[in-house]
Amino acid sequence: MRMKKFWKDPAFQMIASLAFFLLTWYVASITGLFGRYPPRLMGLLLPTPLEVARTVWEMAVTGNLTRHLGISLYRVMTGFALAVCMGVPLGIAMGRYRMVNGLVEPLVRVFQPIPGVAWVPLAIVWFGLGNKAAIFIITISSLFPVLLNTTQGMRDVDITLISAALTMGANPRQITTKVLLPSLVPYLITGFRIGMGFAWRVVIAAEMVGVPSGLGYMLSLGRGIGRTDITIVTMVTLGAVMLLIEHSVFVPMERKTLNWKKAWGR
Amino acid sequence: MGIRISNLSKTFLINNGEKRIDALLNIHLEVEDQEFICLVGPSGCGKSTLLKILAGLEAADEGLATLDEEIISKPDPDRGMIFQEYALFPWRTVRKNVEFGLEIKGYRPEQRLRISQKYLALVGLLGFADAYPHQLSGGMKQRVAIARSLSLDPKILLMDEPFGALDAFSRLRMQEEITRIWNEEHRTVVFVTHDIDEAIFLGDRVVVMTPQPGRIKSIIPIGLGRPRNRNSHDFLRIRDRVYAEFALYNTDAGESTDDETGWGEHLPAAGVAGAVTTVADLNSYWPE
Ligand SMILES: Nc1ncnc2c1ncn2[C@@H]1O[C@H](COP(=O)(O)OP(=O)(O)O)[C@@H](O)[C@H]1O
Ligand SMILES: [Mg+2]
Repeated sequence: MRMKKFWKDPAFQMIASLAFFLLTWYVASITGLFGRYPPRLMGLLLPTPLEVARTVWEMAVTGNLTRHLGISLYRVMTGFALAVCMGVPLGIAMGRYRMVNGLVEPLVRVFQPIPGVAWVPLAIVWFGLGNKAAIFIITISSLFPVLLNTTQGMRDVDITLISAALTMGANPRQITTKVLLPSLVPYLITGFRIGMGFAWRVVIAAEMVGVPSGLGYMLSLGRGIGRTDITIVTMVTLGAVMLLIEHSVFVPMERKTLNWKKAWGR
Repeated sequence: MGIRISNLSKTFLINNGEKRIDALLNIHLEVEDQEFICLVGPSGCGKSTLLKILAGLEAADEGLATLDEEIISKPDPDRGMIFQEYALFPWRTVRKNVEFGLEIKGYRPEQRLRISQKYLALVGLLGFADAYPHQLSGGMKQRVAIARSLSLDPKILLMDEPFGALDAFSRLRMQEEITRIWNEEHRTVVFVTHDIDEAIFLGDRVVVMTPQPGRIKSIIPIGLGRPRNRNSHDFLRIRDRVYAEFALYNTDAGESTDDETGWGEHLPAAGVAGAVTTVADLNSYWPE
């Protein structure tokens, strides 16, 4: 067997691209691409990759990073879970009953275009500077993608499948669990993925402008006390967490549905 | 016993009730136990509506349909239905599709396996038990749907243009296949098609329907043994008779030259279409 040319190996390409990025970063930070300060203060603009790595270590040892990450994660998961618990059943009910749809749809039209971040001031006024406010805006913002994808899924359910299940003696509960819900799965995955993205965005925004804890708080804290390295570490952490969620939750889910995905696109 | 349809009518109101469509008008029909009956007619003559009423998926406006003296009012596993679009669950494997109705009935996994095994063998798909529907050809999908219906041991099988989406070859092949299956698993079958040859090849009787309003024009007993030869003299004779039913309908319509059956263009070709080939010749195309 002939060896594959190494530069065609995706693993090599990934390492090369990351190495190029780190090198550019390093050069930018020592040459002062973003402006020049006295050498003592250069870290304020763009600390070198090495300094950032050291900060990761320092923050890991003091437990600050994990503590604030945990706080944000808790808020995102709680708010997102609430959005799913409300959005999915409501979406199903809207798809099944004209009446529910007629009552809920006008509200969706009014509230859906409001960006989640716009709720921050009101949330702080109502719930104070803590978890409640953060969870509230996360729920509000991730509710709509979950809800709208569920209703779309309900519209796309194949009526013939329901007829077939009925002729085989299925009762309404069985129609829901054995036909509707499986039909919805691809739509739910899409809705959850978008909802989760929204959740992270708004929690960061809320923590940056008010709620004094979590990753968003660390982002603005780093800037406030002149520790740009902390800000950068927080950014990297955020990226890593979202990547991890994508690959440990959504990608496997999607792979499971791949077998019948094709049959879906009708 | 069997299916009895008396004085059945169904009207649809469309455009907010401004327009009435008489999908079915005064339908009378009796189907005996274990009879294979074919409904033919152009699209819009109410074939699907009649099947849905028999399945209990739609309600009639007037008249009623009974199965073994019981009035049909809702779906029941006693009355299996096969759809043109196959209606397989894309997230279930072939075997899990066949077991769907058994799950609904609350059968235990060993029982389900035994039954699905039997019917997968009957339709010749044991080797595809773990495949997903999108991996199968149209003919195979329809065989899964047939196995799924039979697994519930229904008294009657309602088939709505089951081979309508298949190419000509698979269609002929499936016609032979359903004859074989019916020989092994005798059921009452109500089979809807708009293909006259298919109806004559399969049915004990052919019910000719006409649209607007949807009515039964005539019922033609076939009286041929099985398996049938599509080129035999008797087959062609009956075929001419069925075609004549539609031609007659056209002249009955008076001076109007409108093609009310939607079948006019097929009529002149009647003598040619059946002479193409026999299924026996075609069988060599399937390595399976
Ligand atoms: N749900 C419905 N609403 C309104 N009209 C319908 C409905 N179902 C069927 N029809 C009408 O009833 C007539 C008979 O339809 P159908 O039974 O589907 O005919 P076929 O199966 O013979 O083609 C057609 O004119 C069709 O448009
Ligand atoms: Mg039809």
